[in-house]
Amino acid sequence: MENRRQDGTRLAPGRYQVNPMQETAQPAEQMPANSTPEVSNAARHMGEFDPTKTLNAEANLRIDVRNANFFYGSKQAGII
Amino acid sequence: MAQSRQALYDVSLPIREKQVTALIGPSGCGKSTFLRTLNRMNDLIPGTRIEGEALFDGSNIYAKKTDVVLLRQRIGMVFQRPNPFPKSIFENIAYGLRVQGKSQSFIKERVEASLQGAALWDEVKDRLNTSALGLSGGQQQRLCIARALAVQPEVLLMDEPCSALDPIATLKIEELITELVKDYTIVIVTHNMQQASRVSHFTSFFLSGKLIETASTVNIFEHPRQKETEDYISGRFG
Amino acid sequence: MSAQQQISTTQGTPEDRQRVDALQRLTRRLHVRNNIASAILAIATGLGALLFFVIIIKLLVDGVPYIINPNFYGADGTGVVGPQIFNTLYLLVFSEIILIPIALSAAIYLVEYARQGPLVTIIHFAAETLAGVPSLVLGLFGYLVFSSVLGFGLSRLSGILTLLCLNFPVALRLFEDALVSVAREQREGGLALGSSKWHMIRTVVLPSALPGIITGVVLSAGKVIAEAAALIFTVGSANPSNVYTLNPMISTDNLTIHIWFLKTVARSVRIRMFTRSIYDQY
Repeated sequence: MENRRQDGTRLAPGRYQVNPMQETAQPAEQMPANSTPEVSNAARHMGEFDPTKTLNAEANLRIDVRNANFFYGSKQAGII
Repeated sequence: MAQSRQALYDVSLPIREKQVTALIGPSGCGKSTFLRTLNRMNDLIPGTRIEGEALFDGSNIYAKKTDVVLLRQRIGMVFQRPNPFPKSIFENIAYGLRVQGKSQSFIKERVEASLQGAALWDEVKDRLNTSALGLSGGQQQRLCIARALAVQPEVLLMDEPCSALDPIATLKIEELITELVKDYTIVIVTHNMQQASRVSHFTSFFLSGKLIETASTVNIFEHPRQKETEDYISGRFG
Repeated sequence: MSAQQQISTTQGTPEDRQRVDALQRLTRRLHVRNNIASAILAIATGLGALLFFVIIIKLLVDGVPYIINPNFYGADGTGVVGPQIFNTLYLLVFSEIILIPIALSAAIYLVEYARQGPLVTIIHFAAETLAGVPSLVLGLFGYLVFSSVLGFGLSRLSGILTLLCLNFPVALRLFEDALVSVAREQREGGLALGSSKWHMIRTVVLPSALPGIITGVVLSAGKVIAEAAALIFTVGSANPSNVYTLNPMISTDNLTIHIWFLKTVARSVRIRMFTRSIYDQY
């Protein structure tokens, strides 16, 4: 169970590290214990939610992007 | 043509129905730019140009003759920072419906349904006529999601929807995404790899304007095929 | 709970002591400079406010006896400033009615629709240059174009059109600033919900820009009320008997021209006698 996170994805130990530049969101199990029932419900829900269970690799395509190339104009060259 | 800067290189990506597709990658990798091509939001920036095609319901989103107003009614978007209009909560949700000229009774119905869909109804049902700017950041972002849902889009684009929110508000949005995906196709840009692994079915990794790898989220995190992907998700750079 | 916490002090080495003393001297100097600066700023503010109150009090003391007298407005038929107040308001209302839609439309077009290129830059340059032209020069221009070439003569219409030339560049710039200040996120929010550009401008940009637009209207109104030089050549300084009409083709004067008239032209004896006969009633 060591390498299995609560949302079901398995990770080799030490392989997955938190990037310090990331947003502050924490996994459900790290939510403060003294939070409201609403929050702990949400935390439990996220703990139980497993995208692998609802994954449908054969689902229909809704949008199919092919060979997209995108260019900014000269004035916006500095903006991402 | 003065020198232009290429931001996306030959990106090919299928978006699957009623699944969450997460776009990850370091800042400036083009993931937000790519998301914004899907509802032609980049058109607002003068001098931009796009090549290739994005098939949506049999026609090409990137085509010049695409009616962007119609497109944006079918592909909704939630932005990085909550951007409610300085109007009442009710009028914020009703905005897209008023554009479509819906009747008042229809609007009333849809406002409630959308707020319930965005898990905000219980918190605001007694103050629908107060300003949306009085809501907390997390509530404002759920309001923006409700606003997008009100026009019943077929696809929902989310551009780092939690980056301006605290952990609890983030948790609520993530929970909401897992509910919405039952009815909507969702594409979400995120900085947060944990978020991608918590909510998404598919993950695409962008780097320097190129789509390095796209696969089911489990596979991306467990068996990345590309060296760059592995480096990024293991925190060796980015 | 109430247990006294032991607070540690910097006792340590002489070097520590010296460092703290040096910091103390430094912060003392910083405080002194801060106090001097705030005192100077307060004195400057006080002087400005004093001037302001002196002007208002002087105006009230000298002016109130006239303002509360109905004859001052011409109730007894002699009319001292009634016609001038009416004309000032007339010019104000009609020049704003023409100015606001034109300047606002132009601002919306330049900010929201026009391709930001050399043409827009040239328009901005022209508007800024025009805004710097003295109103006396614009008055001569108005006299040439509206009064002479277009044949409107000395009339309220010529004056209103000249005021338009005077106010348009300023109003355009202020309206543009008001529109530009609306956040991009707000515009994108409206467009992302499938509204057309015009609908988004109407429902998102204009409501948010309203305070700035009102500022522009107020500032241009102030210019209209205070304007004299540009109107002397175009509206004239006549004081006809049928002044209380909406007829745009008559020549009248307004408050500022009236003041100028009394202080300069009215020095000629005949007129001085005339005006004295009016003021002697008080």
